[in-house]
Amino acid sequence: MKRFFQRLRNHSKLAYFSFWFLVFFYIVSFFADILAPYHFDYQFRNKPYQPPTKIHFIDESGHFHIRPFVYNMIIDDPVFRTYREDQSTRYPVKFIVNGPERKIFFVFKTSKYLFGVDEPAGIFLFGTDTYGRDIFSRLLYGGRISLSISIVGVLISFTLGMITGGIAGYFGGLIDQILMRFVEILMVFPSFYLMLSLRAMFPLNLSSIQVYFLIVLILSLIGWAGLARIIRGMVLSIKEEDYVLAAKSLGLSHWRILFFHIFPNTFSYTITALTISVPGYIIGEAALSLLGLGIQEPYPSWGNILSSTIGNLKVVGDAPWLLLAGVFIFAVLINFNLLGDALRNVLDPKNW
Amino acid sequence: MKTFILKRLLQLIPMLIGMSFISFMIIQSSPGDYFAQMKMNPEISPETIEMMKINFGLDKPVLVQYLLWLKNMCRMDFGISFAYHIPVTTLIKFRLKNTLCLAIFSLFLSWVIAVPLAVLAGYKEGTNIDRMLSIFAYLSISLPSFFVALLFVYFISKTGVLPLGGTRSIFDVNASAFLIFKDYMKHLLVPGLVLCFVNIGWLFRLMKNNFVEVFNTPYILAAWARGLPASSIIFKHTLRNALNPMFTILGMEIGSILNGAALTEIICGWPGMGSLILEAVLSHDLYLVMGALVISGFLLIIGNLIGDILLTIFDPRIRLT
Amino acid sequence: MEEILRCEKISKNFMIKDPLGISKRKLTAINNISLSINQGVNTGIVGESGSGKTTLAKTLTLLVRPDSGLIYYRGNEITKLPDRKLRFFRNRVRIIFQNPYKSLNPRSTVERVIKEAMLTETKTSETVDDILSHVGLPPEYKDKYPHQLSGGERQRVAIARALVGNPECIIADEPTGSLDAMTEIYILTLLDELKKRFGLTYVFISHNLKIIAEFCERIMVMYRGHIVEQGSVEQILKNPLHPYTRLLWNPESEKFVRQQQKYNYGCPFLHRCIFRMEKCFHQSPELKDKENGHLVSCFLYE
Repeated sequence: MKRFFQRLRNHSKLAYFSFWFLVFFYIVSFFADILAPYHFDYQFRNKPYQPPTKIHFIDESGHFHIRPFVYNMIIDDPVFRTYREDQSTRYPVKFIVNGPERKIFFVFKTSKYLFGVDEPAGIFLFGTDTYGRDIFSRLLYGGRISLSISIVGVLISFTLGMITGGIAGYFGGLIDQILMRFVEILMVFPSFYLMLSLRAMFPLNLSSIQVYFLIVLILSLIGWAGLARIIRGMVLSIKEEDYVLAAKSLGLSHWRILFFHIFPNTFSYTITALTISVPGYIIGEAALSLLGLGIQEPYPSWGNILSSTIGNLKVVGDAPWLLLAGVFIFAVLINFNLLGDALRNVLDPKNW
Repeated sequence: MKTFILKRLLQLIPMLIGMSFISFMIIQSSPGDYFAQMKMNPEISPETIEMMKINFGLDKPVLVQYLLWLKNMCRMDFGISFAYHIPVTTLIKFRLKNTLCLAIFSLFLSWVIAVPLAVLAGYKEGTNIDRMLSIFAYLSISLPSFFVALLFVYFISKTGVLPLGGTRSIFDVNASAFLIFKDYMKHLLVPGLVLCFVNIGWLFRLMKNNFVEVFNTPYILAAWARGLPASSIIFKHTLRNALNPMFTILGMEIGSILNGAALTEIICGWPGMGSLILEAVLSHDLYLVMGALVISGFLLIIGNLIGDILLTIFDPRIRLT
Repeated sequence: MEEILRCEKISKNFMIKDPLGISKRKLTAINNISLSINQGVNTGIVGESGSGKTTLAKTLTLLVRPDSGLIYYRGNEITKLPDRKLRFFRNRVRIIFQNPYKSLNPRSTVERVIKEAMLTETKTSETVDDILSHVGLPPEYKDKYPHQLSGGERQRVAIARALVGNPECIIADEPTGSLDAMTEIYILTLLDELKKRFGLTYVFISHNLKIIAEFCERIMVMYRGHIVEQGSVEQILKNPLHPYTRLLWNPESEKFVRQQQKYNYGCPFLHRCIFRMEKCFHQSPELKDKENGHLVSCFLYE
């Protein structure tokens, strides 16, 4: 493991950074309950589409304050939604604040958050949406959903692909023919169309948990076929290697050969394949939610934060900070791509 | 050559049957009666519904239904759309034309841009130009199509230089054909550019890798040693060989373009297959969903076939006996 | 003399596909080979690369199933037995591969390699250390991975793996083929010691006649998947009959080669034979006993 990080860093500093960036992103979204100043459905009804709150160090009389502060924003013109700062009271930014109780992943209770300001002012780092909900908080919570879907989905596809690809490649013959024909047929469909059609199999109004698992299911159902084919190809070539034949000549069982000799030697490729395929799941979730077929309000996901901008030119024009969800998606994708490219080189046994 | 195409066409048949069967199963396992929605609609009389049930063979067992549907499909009859009350085929025909126009336009544009840039980057490998282009390629690969589309929409809503949504804004019957064409192209430009942008990145990367690989082979070195002019080496010797693997890519791209196009179409309001299937899913218009699914899969198969055929034509190493 | 392994008329073809999977070509790796291996008689198989030696070794150990023909182990036919019923055979007949860089799983330590070989063998009371000491490796080597070992050390591990559970026959497929000259001598000495110590019978495959002559009592000469000559060491060394064997003995005579074009009919050696006759174009000669156990397949001696 240590050797691996060493090699990754030697190969590409950028990819090494990408790796830690992604770890950071996942941790941050996992602890959204502590880090986010507001709960994802906490609404400031009098502050729709408020632009990002400015954080001040110097007040109107020119005094410098060590502790940053914000002003309350007051809506100036309800039609054009212009805001102005009410500079009469300063609201200092407080760290480790108490608030209503939240549950981290439905288990651990917490009533302390990292930062916040006293009401009626609000600290909206990335502005608010149409209901006056804090976009920053929603992005953190949304990241938890979008990122966890991608990981769970990838793991399910990986398991399915490993089993089918392994069996097809190792045993060959009729099983191989049947499995691979099935996989080919699945791959014939353009994935977006297949995704929508699979979604059509289920009612549109499902509970949030159901939708979450449905998305995972659909995405992994689409994703496993490609992985199975890659793994089959690898198994097909590895099973002719001398060390596999040697294991066979010892009279070891098929399962032992498959699990101890073949699969471990596919890992360097499959880890790369997994890294490269994660973006597909993130895009898939975002696309479904974007179209209103995925995660439903009030639950946030990066896709459905973006969805309020579709077909609504005025909103995009007035509140461009809603597009930040796209920036988050982009940031995660580019880091996955960078990491995947580096892994491809680092994990390739030819380069050892 | 003929036998090869014939063989590949024969291979398509089990593929198509499997594909249509999966599509059919998807529709079969959908919840509720197909006609539940129609029954709610007071405009449709119960007699019409009864008649449709018999036409679609819905009172028969599942397998018979499938065969009936397969038979109808061979005659390009995918049934009737519940939402639009017109045959699915008619609907798809109109939308497919738009999607294909969009796909061909963006495909053409992205190839015309990506291939010369890749040759440039490959020839000047390691220089700043190469690095800049590679960064651009990374951006293009990592930006999801829907986000690019949203950014374009945002930009256009701010400037208003191009029309958005639909295929035309001139509805004058007397307008000249050229004017209508110009109008159509103007509408095509936004989704076309979005798709082109998303597509360029990986095309550039693949092409550059091919180019560099061929460029470093001994026979190119030998060509330099013989004192051939650089242009002849780059274009005649390297490019020709580097382009060969791209023909397979061209075939595969039809699938990826269809995928990317769907979301772009929806966001940019281009009435193509993507927006059609979305509408169909939202309104539970099952025959329409199935029709769109089968047609899109069919397009993908044809795309791969075209790629293979082009490859056999251009790559002398693959000889067909 | 007890017979361990016998095969009758085994053949193996491989199908080679072109990249697009349009046309297929048949490649015959071994063709109609019959041989028997008796206890205590070390058999050498000689032939140039591509003559099907490795395929023969893999077929004899049933890692590759023959397309036709039968294989017997101690009188029992085992050709079509499923792998799980082959344990009794696998434990008694072992194989050593040519390239120790490929024959050890890069993700297994030496200890795991040996332990795994013990899995199927319940009778043995030996420990990993004992087995390593048989091949002259110190016990510290247990925790090493293949990439930390030299070629010779790897081959020792591979031999150790084959030794677990006291097999009676070891098929060694060019065990020194990818080692340097010094290591080759060490490994050969080791193999020789083990033979005496455990009473092993070797099937020794090599392209090097000197090694074969030193190690074996019987020699078979292979050419393009056929056995062209077979006999005891003295017979073959002193009196080589087949033109190909003579060529192997005296490579300079290669300059008398007639033609490089390969024929797909007649005698397999046709295109290189300086003695070829009209008959050779039409028929393939059969392996016939010339004198007490010296077999040759050539029309010159009929």
